Amino acid sequence: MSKGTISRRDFLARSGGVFGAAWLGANFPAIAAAATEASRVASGEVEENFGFFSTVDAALIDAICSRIIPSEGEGPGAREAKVVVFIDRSMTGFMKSGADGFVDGLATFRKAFADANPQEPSFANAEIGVQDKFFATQVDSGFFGTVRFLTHLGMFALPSYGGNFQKKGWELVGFEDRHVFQPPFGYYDRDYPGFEAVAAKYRKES
Amino acid sequence: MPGMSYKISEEVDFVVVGSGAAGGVIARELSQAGHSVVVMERGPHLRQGDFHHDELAYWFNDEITKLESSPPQSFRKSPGEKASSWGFQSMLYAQCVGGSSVHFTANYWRFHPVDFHEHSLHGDIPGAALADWPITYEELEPYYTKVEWEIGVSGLAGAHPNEPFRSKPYPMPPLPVKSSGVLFEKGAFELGLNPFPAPMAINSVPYDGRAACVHCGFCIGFGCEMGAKSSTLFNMIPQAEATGVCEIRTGANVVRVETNQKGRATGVMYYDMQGEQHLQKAKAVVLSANGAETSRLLLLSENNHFKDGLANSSGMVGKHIMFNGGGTAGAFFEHPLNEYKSVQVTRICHDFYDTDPKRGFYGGGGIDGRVMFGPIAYAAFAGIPGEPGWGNSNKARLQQYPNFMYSSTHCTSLPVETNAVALDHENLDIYGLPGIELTYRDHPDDLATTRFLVDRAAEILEASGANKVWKNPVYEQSFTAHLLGTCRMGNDAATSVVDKYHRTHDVPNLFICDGSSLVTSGRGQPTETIQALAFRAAEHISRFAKNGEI
Repeated sequence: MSKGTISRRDFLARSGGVFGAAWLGANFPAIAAAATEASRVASGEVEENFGFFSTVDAALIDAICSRIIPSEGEGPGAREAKVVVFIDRSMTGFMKSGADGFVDGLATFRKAFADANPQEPSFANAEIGVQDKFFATQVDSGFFGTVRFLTHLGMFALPSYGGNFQKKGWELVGFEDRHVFQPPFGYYDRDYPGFEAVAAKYRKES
Repeated sequence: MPGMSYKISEEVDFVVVGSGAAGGVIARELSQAGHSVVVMERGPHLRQGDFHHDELAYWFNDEITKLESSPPQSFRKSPGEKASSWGFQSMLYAQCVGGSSVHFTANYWRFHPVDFHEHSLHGDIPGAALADWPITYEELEPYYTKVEWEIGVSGLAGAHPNEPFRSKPYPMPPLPVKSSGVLFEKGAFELGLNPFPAPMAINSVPYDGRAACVHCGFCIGFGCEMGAKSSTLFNMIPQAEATGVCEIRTGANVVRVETNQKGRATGVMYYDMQGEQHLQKAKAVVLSANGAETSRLLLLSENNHFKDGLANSSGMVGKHIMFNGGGTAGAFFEHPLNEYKSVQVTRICHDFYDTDPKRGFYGGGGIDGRVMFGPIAYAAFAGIPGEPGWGNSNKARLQQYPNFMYSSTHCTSLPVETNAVALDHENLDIYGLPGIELTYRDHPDDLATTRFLVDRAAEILEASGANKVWKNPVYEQSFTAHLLGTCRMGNDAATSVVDKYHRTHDVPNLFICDGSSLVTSGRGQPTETIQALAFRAAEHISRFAKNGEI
């Protein structure tokens, strides 16, 4: 098997950090943030049918995922692919053993944003520039590693897992969902003359 | 007569533990020679229709690589450390009929003649236990040919000017080249190297009753729903069953090799799917459970006669595990390559295979052009080091997926005695038996070799005309799918576990043949060598049996 530069071990090691983290408890700014996130749910911007997360938490996760794969620019982002639905389902599925840690990490994220931005109603409702400025301070956290990984899983896993809605993740990366292909597969193998011809050309030149 | 089923109380000629790359070959060879055989397989017997294109399940959720009954694993880098265990498997192998030949990438490289006598060439390497093999390439060559024709390998003989001697060409032409292959080939030729079509155990044309590849791309880590990948699941196992004298017993978790007072193996103890314990009696036992599980089984089989584990008078059981080193360089190109289509590798280069003393370290390897398979793996692992993993730049990186390729390196791992699999008495399986503790740290020469090859890989990508090339950092490895050297072959019973015919030095009717038999690691892609050894071992084991020499 191929050896990636970042192993599953690395991912899980980071995840272990967040899953083991203890949330110190909500305070007023965090509660206020949760309340404003709820307004986004009420407005219908976020999928409401969640089995694990509250709609308030779902709104925050959706906002976080949208900074990892933004909707801005060409092509769909995590929001369009409904990655938050994938993450919600994963918490009662393959991520079940890490669900409590994820919830703790989410709460810590919410509190940290509220502490750093007391003037803002919530991360989910903040301007993108504000979100990105705060997000840049979180990239070394275990929670960031976990949620980034889950965002990519939800973007590109089979739609049956809840994300990759209407195969929008595959649309973003140009992945064709087919079981059979024939050459040419890409731009550079068109009109390939055969190995012997190529080898003969180079060996003749040398 | 597929579906042969022996009574549990019935003694058979051979019990083979493991149905993978080696076990499948041995089962077929012994049963076709007329011996009664029971193959013990922990996992299920999946069929073509059971495999599917689910990257999350196969790559990240252990679809075929972990069972409830699997032994837990723990890992540490050196003997002085406490091994950590948190559910992750440092050693990855499929647990189903066909074993890891079900989910392998199917790179089928022959070892070169030099691989078999590097100690004689280079002498002792500090910190390592480099040794010559008790056999030569010339002795193994007929069995490499047998693998290529009976397992089914696509390739182009003579394409590499320094290709080792071969007695026959490949039975199938190479698979169609991909854009990564064209670009890798161009870059290598531009540098004066000798790239050539990758030999792959995947049907390029219909072969031996199996379909040709349809280029779906789901090879690495997946089972093949076309049966085009030359897994023992699709060739050796059904052929063994067809003899009418071979039973594939699934859900059979072997936990002990039993021996009598004469020090001979009498069979294997195993748990069935219902958790019931049984003894399968046999005149001889063959272990082909892989480099981790075979060693664990021997160590679990200790008794008053074999206090340090079965066949372990040398103390070498579990020692010298070798992963094969590896690193990568990445590149983006102007136009789409669409590397998710078709097999993972179509061109390779062996110009840096041999050790060159002028480099200042032992080691060598091969380089290929390949894909970092699916969108999830690409998104999670690939990209230019140091770039933000989020935001607009992340989205732009994702959109580069069709324009991306890797050049991957595969190299030597030195046998280091402290690199070992052992019993983990703190992490127990569902039967209350010790799990597997892995200790592994790359030898400094292995890391130097990997860095050297990654530099060459990046040069090839630069010469191929890439828009952007980068080298990924080389880390000490903590994960492997290659489990080599833990019951090494040798003529000296004091320093090896099996002899040149795979018979254990200590137990005359106990044989071992799998990745554990290897004395050195080759340059990666060890499966063809493991299977060549298996064909050769089966021939000799059958001969011993027929001559009354077991």
